[in-house]
Amino acid sequence: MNLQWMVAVRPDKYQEVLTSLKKDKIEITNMLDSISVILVSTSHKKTEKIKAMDGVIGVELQGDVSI
Amino acid sequence: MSKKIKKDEEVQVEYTGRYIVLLPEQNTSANSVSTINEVSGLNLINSTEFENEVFTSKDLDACDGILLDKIGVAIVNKSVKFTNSISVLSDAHNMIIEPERVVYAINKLDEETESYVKGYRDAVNSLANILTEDQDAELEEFAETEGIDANAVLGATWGLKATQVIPSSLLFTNPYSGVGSKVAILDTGMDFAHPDFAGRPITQRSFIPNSPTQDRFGHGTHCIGTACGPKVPISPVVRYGVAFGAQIFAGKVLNDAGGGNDGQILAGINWAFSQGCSIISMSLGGATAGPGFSQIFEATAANLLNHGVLIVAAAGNDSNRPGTIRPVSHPANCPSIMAVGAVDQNMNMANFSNGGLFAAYGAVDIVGPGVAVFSALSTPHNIRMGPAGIIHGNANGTSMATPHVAGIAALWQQATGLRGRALWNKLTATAKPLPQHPRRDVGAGLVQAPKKRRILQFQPINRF
Repeated sequence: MNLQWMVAVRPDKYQEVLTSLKKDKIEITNMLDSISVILVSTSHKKTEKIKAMDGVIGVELQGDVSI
Repeated sequence: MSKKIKKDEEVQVEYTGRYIVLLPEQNTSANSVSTINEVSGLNLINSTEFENEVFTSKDLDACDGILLDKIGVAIVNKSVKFTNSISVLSDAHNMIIEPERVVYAINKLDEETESYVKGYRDAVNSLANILTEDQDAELEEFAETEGIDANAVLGATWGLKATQVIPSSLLFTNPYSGVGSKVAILDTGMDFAHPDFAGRPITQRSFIPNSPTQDRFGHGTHCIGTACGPKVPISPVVRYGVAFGAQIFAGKVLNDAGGGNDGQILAGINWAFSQGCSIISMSLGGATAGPGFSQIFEATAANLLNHGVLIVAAAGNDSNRPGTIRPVSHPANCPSIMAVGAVDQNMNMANFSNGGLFAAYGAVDIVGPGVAVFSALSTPHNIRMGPAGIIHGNANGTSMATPHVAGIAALWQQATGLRGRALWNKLTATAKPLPQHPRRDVGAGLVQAPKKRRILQFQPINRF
């Protein structure tokens, strides 16, 4: 089952990680270039592969927020 | 030292060699005198040590100086020690120091001198009245004499007064509006039809699918009103906006029910940063599932701080004090995001305000007014914030405290040019300590706006 994740990336590795995600056919839901964060929709298992990519600072599940 | 002036003699400003020191209002007179004594090495005494607080020039000559406790003024004899201390006392301790202009012998007065001394007495009495009268009365009189719209000066929310956006003393003025600052409020959007914002350029973007930025909930409009509302509202209500000159960036990251997710918040932050915003206000939060904080938000906020962008966020409203205190919400619990708690008008903790329960992270960094906060409401869809047709109203929450801090950050940015981490440090360094509460709950204290010392114009006394 796919879940919504946030991937924080070192700015100097942003394009490199983006390319790797596309190569692994991971669904990218939003590219937040200015802050070097990529939002993806994927399974928990695949996040382990993302975490191993060079330049990835962290991968976390998106949570809910409210007023 | 005395001098008699003939009727036809041109009035010349004469100095006695002494100094008059106007003590800062925020400190007690005793504390201020201690400061003077410590800095200058002098030993001022209190006028209460004299019978009926009456003293003579001989008494004054016999000591370093005398404190007039009731009006917060000290008369200090000239000395090398004091002269060398003037700049420190003035700059670091907010004291206003001026040479004493004239002093006449108080015994054996001729008719002319007696007349002059009475005039001098009346002037001092007048000054004492100004300094001790009720604040609103001071401001009302000032507004009248300066020809200022009384509503613009008098009418302000308690939050703007408590944070010194409207200085509490006539001796100070706040000339800052936040002009030049770009402030992003990431919330439920903005009511673009609100009359108080008519003609105001507002940059907007919605990150909620199929939902315009128009606020149909009310929360975003209320927060934008506090942070950047007008100096003089179109409607006949009190001033409620802090940085009326700042450029507004309204990002809709919460839906019309007030909910959203991390991805939408990050998208809003990304947009605000790309637009050049230096202050991002987020009156939102999510539950903290356990210990720790989001590495994603922390990395983002730390990176933005290094790029001169300050993010402030609500500490959260999950507590029920005094019995239950909940930890600071996500993402305010990130160390690089300034977490804002809430106090009420009496400087009591808001019963809902979360606390910094963990030593290493999730601290409350500062507090702002968060109870009975009056601001703009959206029209016509006030689903949660009030009945339709009402365009202003009160709300409670750390959500309301947060835009106070954001707006005041814009004022400080204008006043100092500081951004990012330096702006953070300025906000916490200038906050008003609230020692009655644990630091866990209030951080550095109540956020305070920058202000400037007003240049007092003394009018020559008409003696004849």
